[in-house]
Amino acid sequence: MSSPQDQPHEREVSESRERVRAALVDQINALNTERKRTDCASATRCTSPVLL
Amino acid sequence: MCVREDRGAIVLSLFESYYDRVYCFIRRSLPPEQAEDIAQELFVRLLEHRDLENRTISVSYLIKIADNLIKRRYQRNKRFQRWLESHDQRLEIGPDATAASDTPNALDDQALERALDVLSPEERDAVRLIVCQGMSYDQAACSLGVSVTTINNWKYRGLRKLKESVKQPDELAAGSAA
Repeated sequence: MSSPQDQPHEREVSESRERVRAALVDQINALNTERKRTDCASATRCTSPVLL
Repeated sequence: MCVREDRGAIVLSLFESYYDRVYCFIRRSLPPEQAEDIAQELFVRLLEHRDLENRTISVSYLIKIADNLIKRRYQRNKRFQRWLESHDQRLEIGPDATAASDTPNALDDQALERALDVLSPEERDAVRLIVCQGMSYDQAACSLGVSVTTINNWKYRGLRKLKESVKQPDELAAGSAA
C-alpha cells in the first residue's frame, strides 16, 4: 500500500487526473448553467412562457 | 466574448499543464485520497478566483496554494482533536495508527470522517463549520441560510451524538467484561 512519502506511480497519477478532470468539467458545467439561469432571471425582459 | 466561460477554459488549461506536478507535491505529505481531494479543491478554488483572467498563474503559485490547503486541513484536524480532548474523549483509532503516525493528518481525517458519519447532514454541517472550521455562529448560520438558533441546536445535537458515539465502544467493552 502506498504511503504519503512514496513517489506516486504514473498509473496512480493518471487515474487521479482522470477523476479530477471529470469532476472539474462537471463543476464548470454547473457554474455555466447557474450563470445562464441567473442571467435569465435578472434580464429585464425575461418573459415566462406561462404568461404568454 | 464571455469571460466566465473563458474562466473554465483557463482552469482546464492549467489543470492539463500542472495537475501531475501539483498532485505529486501533495502526495509527499498525504495519502492518495486526501492528496486528490486537495488537488481537486485547489482547481475548484481557481474557478472562483476573482482575478483569474488577469493573472499569470505559475506552477509555484499553485504549489503554494496546495501547501496552504494542506496546512489548513492539518490545523482543522488539530482543532477537532483539541475539542475532543477538552471533552475528555478519545476517538477510537485503527491498528495502522503507528504506521501512519508520521503523516500529519492521515489518521485524523479518517477518524474525523468516521465520527461525523453518525450525524444527520444538518448536524454534520453545523459541527464542520463551527467546530472544525472555527466559523462564528453568525457566519455559519448565514452560509447555511438558517437562523443562529437553528444552527446552535444542530451543533448541540451533533456534539452530543459525537460524545455518545465515542463513549459507546468503552461502555460496550465494560459491559462485556462485567
